[in-house]
Amino acid sequence: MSAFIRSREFLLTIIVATSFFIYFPYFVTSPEPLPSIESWLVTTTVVIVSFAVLVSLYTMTRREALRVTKRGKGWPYGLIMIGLTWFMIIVGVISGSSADAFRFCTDAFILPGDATIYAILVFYLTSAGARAFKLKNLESLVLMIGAVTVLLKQAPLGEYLFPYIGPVGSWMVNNVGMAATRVFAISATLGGIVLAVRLLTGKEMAMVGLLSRRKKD
Amino acid sequence: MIAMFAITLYYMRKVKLPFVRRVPALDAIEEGIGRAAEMGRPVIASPGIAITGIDYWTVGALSILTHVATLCARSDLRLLVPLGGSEQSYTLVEISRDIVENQYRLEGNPERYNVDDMPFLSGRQFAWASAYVGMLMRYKPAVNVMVGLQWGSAIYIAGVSHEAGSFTISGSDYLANVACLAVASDYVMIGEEMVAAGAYLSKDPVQIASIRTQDIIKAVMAVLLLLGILTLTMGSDIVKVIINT
Repeated sequence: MSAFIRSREFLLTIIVATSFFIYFPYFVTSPEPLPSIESWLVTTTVVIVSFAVLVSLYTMTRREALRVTKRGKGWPYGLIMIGLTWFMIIVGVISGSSADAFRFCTDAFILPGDATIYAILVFYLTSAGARAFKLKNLESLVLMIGAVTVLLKQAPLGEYLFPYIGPVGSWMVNNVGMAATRVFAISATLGGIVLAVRLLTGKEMAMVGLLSRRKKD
Repeated sequence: MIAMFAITLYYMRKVKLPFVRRVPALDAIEEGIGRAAEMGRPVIASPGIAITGIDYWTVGALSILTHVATLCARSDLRLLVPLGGSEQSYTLVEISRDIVENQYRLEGNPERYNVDDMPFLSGRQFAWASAYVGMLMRYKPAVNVMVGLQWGSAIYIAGVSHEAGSFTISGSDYLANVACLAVASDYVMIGEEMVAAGAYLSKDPVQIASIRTQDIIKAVMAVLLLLGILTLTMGSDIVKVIINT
């Protein structure tokens, strides 16, 4: 039974059938029961996600509890995480997410944490930029010229010191940058469509973990 | 769309191996895992935060995770997979664990698989990123493969990965992030390279043919774009009219 459930044919049938019931009523006005099956599949997805939340919570608690009991590296952080997670769950379940204690935890721990990490990004970006703008070859020279031009355009003193930087920088953003954005969007969309064709024809089975099995077959 | 399906299916039925340009970031995965085997250090790979659910970027990332897991199982390496990052990522956790466990079993090395190496870290992006960089600093992996949906936290992770001495291979769905990752990583996947990974890495002629189709359609679109620019500059909107009809 297990071998049948994990077989390529069974998984492919599920993929094709699910895609049909989701996409067909979306593009074509369909008679019953197709719209009902579509909405049932969407509801099922929500139910699966809800159970996945419980599984994730269980594995997270188990992992941190093991770390604390074995006194693994950084175990006090695990203790804090378990304590805060379960405190928020209990408060949320009993009093709802608008309760004072729940909001206190959000305002005192979660939001400052998020803001701190967000602020750190600027320093990492600057450091990465400094490493990348080293002159090594022709490509790095082009990258450096482009980056310095756009940086000077954005800086308050840039246009004052170099009057031509503004128009040149704007041209680079509106033409070169925009062209790159369009190329990225078009190629990504094409890639997505071709991936969908591969999935629907059973060629792309890596996402269900069948890459090696197919090769061995 | 129908024409594209037809061309793709036609090419996929052809058995001869078509020419496909190299994708250095995908080729570098094998090199990075070889490096991990030589150094005796683990490998870390993330399929992203799946903030929009299991979309095509995440499917592409799962193909890459499958490839990384296969190579790690073959080389008897420890694979760390930090999971989570969004409220939509819970299903990705179970899918990723199943994929990695399968690869270790298929390569005859099931005892190397450890579910605790694939922890669910958090449902919030920055909390997940902090725990991810914690793993980078603690375990000092030889290679860090971060693909799928990688948003604002990607540059932070790539920066710490550099500090931890990891060989960084990255990819993102988000163009501004690709620019950031290009300066912070050793190799970066751009545009459709990540979604084409499954086909490219399989070396299967049928799948590679689908990449070839994609390249042909891109070339046709490039010609149409150039024609459109030229005709519009000369005051004619013929290309626009043809596309709209």
